Amino acid sequence: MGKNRVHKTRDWQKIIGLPVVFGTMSFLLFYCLAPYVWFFIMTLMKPQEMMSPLGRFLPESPSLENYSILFFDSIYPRWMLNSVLASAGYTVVTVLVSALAAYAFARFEFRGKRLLFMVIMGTVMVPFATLVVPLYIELIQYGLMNTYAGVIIPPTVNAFTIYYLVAYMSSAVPKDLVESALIDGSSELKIFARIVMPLALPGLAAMAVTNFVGAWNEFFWPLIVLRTPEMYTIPVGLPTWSTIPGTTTMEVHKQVTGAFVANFPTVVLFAVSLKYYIKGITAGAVKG
Amino acid sequence: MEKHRDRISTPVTALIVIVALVIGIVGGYFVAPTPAGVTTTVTATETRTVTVERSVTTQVTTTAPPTTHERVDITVWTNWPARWDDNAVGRVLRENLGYDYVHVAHEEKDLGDIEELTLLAVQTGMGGPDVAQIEWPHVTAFYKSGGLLDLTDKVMPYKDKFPDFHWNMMTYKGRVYAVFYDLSSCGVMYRTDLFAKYGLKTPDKWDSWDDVVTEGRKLKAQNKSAYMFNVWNDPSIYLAFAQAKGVQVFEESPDGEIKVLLDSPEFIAVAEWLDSLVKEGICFYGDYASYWPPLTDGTMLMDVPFPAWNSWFATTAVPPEMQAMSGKWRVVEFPPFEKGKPTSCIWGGSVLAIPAHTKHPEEAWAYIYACTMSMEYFLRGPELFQEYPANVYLPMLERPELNEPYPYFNGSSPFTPCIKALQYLPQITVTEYYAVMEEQLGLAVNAIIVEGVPIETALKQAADNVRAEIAG
Amino acid sequence: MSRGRSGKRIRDLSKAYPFIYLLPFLILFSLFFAYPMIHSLYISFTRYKIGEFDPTFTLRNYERILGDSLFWNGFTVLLMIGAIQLPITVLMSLALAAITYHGIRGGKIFNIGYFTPTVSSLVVAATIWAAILNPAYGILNHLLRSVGLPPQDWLGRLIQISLMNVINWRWFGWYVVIVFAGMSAIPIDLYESAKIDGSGRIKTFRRITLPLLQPTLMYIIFVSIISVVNLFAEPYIMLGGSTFSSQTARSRLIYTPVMYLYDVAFRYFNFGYSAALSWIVFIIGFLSSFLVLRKSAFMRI
Repeated sequence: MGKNRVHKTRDWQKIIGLPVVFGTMSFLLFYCLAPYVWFFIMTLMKPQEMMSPLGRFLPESPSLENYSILFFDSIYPRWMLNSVLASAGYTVVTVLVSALAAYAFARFEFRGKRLLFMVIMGTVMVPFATLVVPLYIELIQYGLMNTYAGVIIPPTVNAFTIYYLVAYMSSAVPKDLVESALIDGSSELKIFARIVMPLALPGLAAMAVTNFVGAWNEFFWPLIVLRTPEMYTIPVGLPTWSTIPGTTTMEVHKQVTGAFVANFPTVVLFAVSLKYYIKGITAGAVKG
Repeated sequence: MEKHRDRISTPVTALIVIVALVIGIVGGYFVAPTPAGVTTTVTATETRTVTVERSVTTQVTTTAPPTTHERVDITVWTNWPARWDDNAVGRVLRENLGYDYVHVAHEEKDLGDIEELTLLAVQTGMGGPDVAQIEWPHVTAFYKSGGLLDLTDKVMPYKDKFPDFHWNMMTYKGRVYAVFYDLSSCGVMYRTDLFAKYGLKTPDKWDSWDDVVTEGRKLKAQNKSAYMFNVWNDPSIYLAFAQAKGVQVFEESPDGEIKVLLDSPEFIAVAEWLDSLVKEGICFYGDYASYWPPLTDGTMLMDVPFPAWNSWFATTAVPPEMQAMSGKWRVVEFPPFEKGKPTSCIWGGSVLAIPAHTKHPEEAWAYIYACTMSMEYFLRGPELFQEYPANVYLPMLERPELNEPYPYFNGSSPFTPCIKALQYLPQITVTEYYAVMEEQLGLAVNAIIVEGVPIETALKQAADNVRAEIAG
Repeated sequence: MSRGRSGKRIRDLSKAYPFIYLLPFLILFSLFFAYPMIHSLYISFTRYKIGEFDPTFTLRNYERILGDSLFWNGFTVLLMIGAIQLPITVLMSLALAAITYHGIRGGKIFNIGYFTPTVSSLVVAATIWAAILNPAYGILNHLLRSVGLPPQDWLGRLIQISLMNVINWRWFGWYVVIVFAGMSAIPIDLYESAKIDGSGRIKTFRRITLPLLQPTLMYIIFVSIISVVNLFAEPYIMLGGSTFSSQTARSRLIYTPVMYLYDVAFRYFNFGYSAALSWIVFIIGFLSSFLVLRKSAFMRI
């Protein structure tokens, strides 16, 4: 963070005042995180306590038993693997395909460009329910039912990513840089790989994280594609653990703990990539 | 030099990208494990022991001889895990009914998801389970799709065991496509200790539902924060009382024309009656979450309607506060609206149906038979999953084990009043728009309770929306 | 070919370049988007319910939308959310990103912390907020009561406020990240020269940062508009999702058009009408983004 400081910390604080700003930011932080702290406390409870009226805040005898059940005595680790594979696969395909497409829009002029761009932007405005029945038929015809490819490939039509990368590439890659490279005799592919991609890295990273998180929490499409418990991703599998009170296989403790654990990979990913933004910025900043 | 590079790089780029994609798709396809022969890891065994208070248990001996049939795995989609996984129905199939080669892969899903995915399956003729659990009001659409297996020949022998109400729901244009599974006809449950404490007449002694007002007023005079029962913020209770009173929401003429009666004076009267009970303070409006505490804290004296599947209150799988209520609640028959004319109503429930394109129709049918009609399954309940199934099936009246008194329910049986009620169920005209009507009624009820919209207005709008759907 | 012709060939090849880069996307697009969309457009002009398919061309579905009170009710819900929640979230994230970018102790922690709700699954968010907002047993009313204020009906009459709050809570952190990344693309020497020129904090922000952030801001606004128009998941979960499907209380106050078209397809089994509704929602989304973004760099692409 220090490297980005151009002005001394005092400047804007003179306008509003440090305690107010810091206080507000901290309150917001509390507002974001406190529910998870409480959720964590819930994971320390016994199943009976979890189902009791919501007024209960603290467990009587907190234990980490739920975690050991989750990791050693259930199918959850398999679901984590599935989620990782599906999300990573989705991210790689989407970012790659979108980066290529975005580059086409940012770099070139061609007939029909405006129209094509409009059409692509139009894709995000379509509610999912419209596409379900035909996609389901295709899924079966191509034999993609209950496979990783089936979960990964169809949703990769992601215009948000393209749009963002177009905007990012346009602002991050100066035209004169590209032109001077062309004059120097560099091929288009080299320009793409050696100049544009490194400069676009923060944007790519942002999109990679966004897409990974989106895929990780995605529920509707995997629900349709995945059929056997071994293939479920976490959001699809968790609700199948029964929370109905009174059944002998009440598994709400696994469900609550599993939901809590599922939050972490994405947070960690984000924390790590934030550092990378900074590196990308200092490495790729264009001087005059 | 540079031109050579240009000539090569473009096709190379394209080739690389396409090859990468192809590898990705093909690779992903092969990486995914084939599920054949893998048994489900959803188990019913828990380290906790669950006990049920019982006075009589029956041992059912195995009766079927072994066969040499090749193994068959069937997939079942339901939302009740304990009763439906391989350990329970599968065992009955293999040990009692002679299907020792059948294994059940049970997948527990939410009912809405089951319907959506099964709908996709029957529409397209691909995918889906061998047996699906579908809520009874929604099943007409599945019949119309033509994608369900015709079960008429299998079910005909048992026709007289199903009341007319059930039989009508299971058939479409004279053919049977589904079997009733956990439909609950209702009784009422009441707190014996609190009724005694406040000196009120118990529901089994009531002449009619008018008594709820009289007794309710007596209660409020003594305790302002107690209520007779919970009126759900949900269309089901309105429909239940309408049914019990014989009020219809649809009318279907012989030539197929459908009239919507949601805004008829009779239905409005039912809604207004329930609303008046709340306004007077005799009842309260609750949702699913706020239903639990009053069961134990003494603020709710009755649970209406009481469906047979609430018998799991009596197990140790419910929270300790509920277990501590043992002996206090009692189950009796649903009070009449007119003295001497017994009645009851439906509260939830589903059917089991088989998609027509299943590869194992025989085994799927065996599954359905096992858990909807076989006495072996009902009687082995406590042994297999620690409680009796929630099915309400007339022949159960003949078995004393299924009608035994529960100490939890103050010496009453949670099943008998409900099973008996099967005979008193007024018919409902259903039509394939029942689900639409439920949804619209739900929106209307919520508007009435939360936004304060007048009952007649809300019901009229709901009825108009249903009419628009019928026309469209 | 001879070198003399090289100029023309470069031009020929360079005409093909953009399409080669677009190729992977176009393949996926045609397979998994264009085909379903065309199919859906087709059925929106037919009468297609389960068990009956009448292929004759008809406008009945679209006519029905005009008089459908549920749909227009949902539309006003969207207008309200777009007018209130959207600006709040965008402005809030802009301010927060600016503060963390220009340096505050623990800035990284703030960014990560704010991002946490975005990262959580809807199931978690639903459980948490249901517990907090429950009128009888939730923490919020508990707090209100303990300081003497009257408890409110957060999931009843005030459910719209609760919904806007949940959406904001879930998404503002992500917006902060995006704006932050956008700010990172601004060359630092621009700030240096501004500082040398003696320009103050706010002026720099207005003259340098904001204009250069325009693509990012337009992106955020675009995403917001589309998310609002297609709002489905958050209200769906707040109303209990699909547990006990026949016993969830639907509230007209947050019943969005997409929830409606989903129900029309999977509860009413009327696919033709659902397809027509989805195309109308699509047009609404398209027009909204077009109207809001037409003056921006978006159109200069």
